[in-house]
Amino acid sequence: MKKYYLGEFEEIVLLTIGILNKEAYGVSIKNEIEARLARDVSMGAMHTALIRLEDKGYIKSSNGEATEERAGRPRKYFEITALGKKAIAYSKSTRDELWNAIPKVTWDRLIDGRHKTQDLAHLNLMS
Amino acid sequence: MTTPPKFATRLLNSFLRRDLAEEVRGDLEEKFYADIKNKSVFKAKLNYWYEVLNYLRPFAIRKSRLNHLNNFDMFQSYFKIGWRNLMKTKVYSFINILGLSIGLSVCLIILEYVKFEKSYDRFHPQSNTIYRVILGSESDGQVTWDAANFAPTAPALKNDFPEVVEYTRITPEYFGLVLNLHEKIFEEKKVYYADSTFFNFFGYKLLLGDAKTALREPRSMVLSQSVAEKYFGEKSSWKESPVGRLILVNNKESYTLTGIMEDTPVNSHLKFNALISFTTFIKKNDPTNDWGWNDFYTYIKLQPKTDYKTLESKLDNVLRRHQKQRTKDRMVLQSIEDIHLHSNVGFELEANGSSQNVYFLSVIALVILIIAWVNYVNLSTARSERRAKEVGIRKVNGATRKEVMAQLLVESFQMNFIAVFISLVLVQAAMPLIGVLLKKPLLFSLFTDPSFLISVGMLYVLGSFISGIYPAFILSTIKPIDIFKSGSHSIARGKSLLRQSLVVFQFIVSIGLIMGTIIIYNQLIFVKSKELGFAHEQTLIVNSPRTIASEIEFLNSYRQFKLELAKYPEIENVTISSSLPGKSSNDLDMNGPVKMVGQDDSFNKSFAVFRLDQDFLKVFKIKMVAGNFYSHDRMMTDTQLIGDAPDDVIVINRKACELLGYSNPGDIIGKKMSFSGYNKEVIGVVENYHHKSLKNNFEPIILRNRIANTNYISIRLPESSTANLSQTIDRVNTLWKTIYAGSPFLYSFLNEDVNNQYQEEERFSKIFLLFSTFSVLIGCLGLFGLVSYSVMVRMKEIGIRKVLGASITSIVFLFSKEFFKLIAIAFVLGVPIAIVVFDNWLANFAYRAPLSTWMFIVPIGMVSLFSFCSVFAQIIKAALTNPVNSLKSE
Repeated sequence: MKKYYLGEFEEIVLLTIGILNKEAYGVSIKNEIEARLARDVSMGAMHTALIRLEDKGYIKSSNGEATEERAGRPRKYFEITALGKKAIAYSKSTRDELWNAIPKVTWDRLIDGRHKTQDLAHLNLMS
Repeated sequence: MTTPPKFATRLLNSFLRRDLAEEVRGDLEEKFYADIKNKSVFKAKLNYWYEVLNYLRPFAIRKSRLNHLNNFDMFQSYFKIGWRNLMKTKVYSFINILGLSIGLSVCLIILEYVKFEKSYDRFHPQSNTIYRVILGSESDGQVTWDAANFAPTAPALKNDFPEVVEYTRITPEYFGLVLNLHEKIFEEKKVYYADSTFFNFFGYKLLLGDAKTALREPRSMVLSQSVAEKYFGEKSSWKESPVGRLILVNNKESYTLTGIMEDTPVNSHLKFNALISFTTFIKKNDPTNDWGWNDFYTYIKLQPKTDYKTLESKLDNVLRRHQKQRTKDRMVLQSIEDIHLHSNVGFELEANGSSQNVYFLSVIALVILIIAWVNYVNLSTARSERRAKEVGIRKVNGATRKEVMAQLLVESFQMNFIAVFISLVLVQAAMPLIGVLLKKPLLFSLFTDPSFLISVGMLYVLGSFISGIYPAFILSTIKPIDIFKSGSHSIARGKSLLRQSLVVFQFIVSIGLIMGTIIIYNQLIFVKSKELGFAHEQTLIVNSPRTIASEIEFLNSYRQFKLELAKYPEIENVTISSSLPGKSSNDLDMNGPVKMVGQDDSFNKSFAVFRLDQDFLKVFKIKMVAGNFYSHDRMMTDTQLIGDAPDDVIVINRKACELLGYSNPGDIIGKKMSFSGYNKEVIGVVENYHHKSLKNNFEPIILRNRIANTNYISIRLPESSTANLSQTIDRVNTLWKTIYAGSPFLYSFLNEDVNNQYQEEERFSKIFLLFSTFSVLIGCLGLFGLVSYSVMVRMKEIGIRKVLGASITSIVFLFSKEFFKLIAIAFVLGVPIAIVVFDNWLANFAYRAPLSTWMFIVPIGMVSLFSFCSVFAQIIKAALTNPVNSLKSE
């Protein structure tokens, strides 16, 4: 279902807007992502994501009051729309679905490091 | 307060979508200021840059209006259409391109010439710190500036002022020197005595020898390469360095050759063939404590960034301190870079250029270029009707005004490109010719000189834009509906005010330039044909011998030479003198103090002085006004003649007589005058004659009867004996060899020197004539194009007029009337401008040819004639066409 397509970075931005709740605008979103995920985000990249999210109708923007540190330019605040909420919920549910579909054995094998290496060694020998 | 990097912000603005601008800039700035608080300013700026560059993403970049996908194809189409238009109207394209390329070529040539004139003396290291110290003497409230200074000035300046880093002095050897070197004998001119600092001070290069010591010891001599090659053959063939060889000078003294230098660069205000150490000069005649003998060209080098004006203000005090007599002498500094173009003081080492002429030529270059552009504008707007339909169709099909303008500009760039290409070829070909014409070695450095290429590029872009923008503007404003609904368009009629004013402008320039050419040539003819007060035709000048050891021997050998010459029937008279009228005025020294005995000391003046024998007036046919000239009846003794004993009589010219307070020359005869402290009786007054060029007024001159240090033997030949001139010269030469063996026989004719006085003016007149011809030519080309177009457009009108019974003359009259009206306006405006401008140029001359009416009538006649010629044929053709042909179509 293509209806609710969200890219990985778009999803992060959308979630962060949710976290910031009414305080989400360019710089704060960037700072939040950088703080929480310890990854560098360029304004340009983030802006791309914001524009696409807005184009898809997942977020809406409104101009805030002018502030001094922006030389009188108003901030542009973002909010998640109902559609955005659906999209992110859909995204989460699809992930959950996939998550739950993973058989328990997979985890058993992967979680125990010793088994894993043995298996790998075994695999190597076989090939 | 720190702000984000400006350039980054500008970059961002240049590409960012307008609707995003506010938000993005706000975000970036907020982050920037936050960064400043948390991190360093540098990091904040770096970050800002990083973010700006990160906005170079498709979503954020503004869509340009011209930035359509078919952009390239469109331009390709513009080029194609432009080329087709060029080919379709070959005559107009030819006129346009020819006009543009001639204009550009002339402009480039003049630019190159101006650049050459401005390049003088820039080759010295730190040339902007080198100054010449010149000396002014004040009398009657007027300061006369001389290029040469006293010998002790330079050391005193270096001693007194720490900002003077170094100095060097030179003084000319006024007589040529006869060098005997490597068993060859030649006479060398332009020889100077120079301080040992010379080569380190200036940028002249020493090829062989040591720059530090070459001019240190007495009797050291440095030769230029081309002089050395006269003695030793081609430099490449030298097996060993000639440095260290002995030179026998004037058959008397032997000097050591201590170095070979490069020939002086052509753009040097000082040109020399040989240098002798200054110590040699001091040994002969020590000037080092003489604060009254100014014959020493003094150059000082200042600390970088010294304010030379401050130093200059302290210079007069140096003179006050050292001169024993109270004088009103003054000193100022001249930057060496300014000497060639801006200095015009007495006793310059070489004839300098003139900043005025350079300025004149730059203006002409600009004017010619403008005329060429005007042509383009005129022709393109005149032809706009032909293009109007095309523009209309384009617009109907959705072309915007900007796109139409872009198309027309592309065409202008195309046309100009061809013109630039042609003019580069033309200039490359013409440059050596121009160099010969101007007697200046113009090195055309087209492809090696980046500044030249840049100026060509700028002229190209500027020219294409200026000439293209107006037609593009006019055409692109056309409303398609107007074009299609009727056949009448006002734009193409010769009624446009702008076009008419441009034509008037061209006429003004043409009339002005023709008038200028006439005025300049007339002045040159005037000064050359003016009665100079002395005879210069048929005067053979022989340089007096240099190799005679003693002055008394010189006197006796000269007497013998003269006596022998008197036996030849073809020789009328012979004289000897230290200076010649019409020849280099540097021979004429100013000397003083002069006054009448009994007059107050404050009356003291300086007069020009030169030495001669008693036949001077006969040879040069100068008249006496009162009293007698030196004669055999009142012969001086030999010791007086060679200057070992003071003489007691003196002859002056009328001007000197007037300055001494005698308006009637007869009254001064027999009176005593004081000259350099000696009393002398004035025995005669000669009529004023033009010893110097006509740029100068008459000067007061003292003519002394002395034979010492006389440079020139002048031989008067009868007016009629032109036939066997070479035979006469041969006979004089044979006699010369028997009397003055060992001294080269060098002769010239005085009328050549007299004519050479106006070299700079002649050069100017040539370049002026050349370029005014071109500008008139370009103007005519433009007119031709304009008229042929307006005739073509009005073919139908002519046809109808003829059908209704108009005669051919009335049609010709109708069409010519318009242009003659414009010429009349141009005449009224142009003549006063030309008079003002060229009056300025004429101010160089003390004697000016009077302006007369024909100088105004000829230019207007010529302009009328030229324009009539370019207009007439076409109008006649149109008038003769059978109206059926023009009316049947459409």
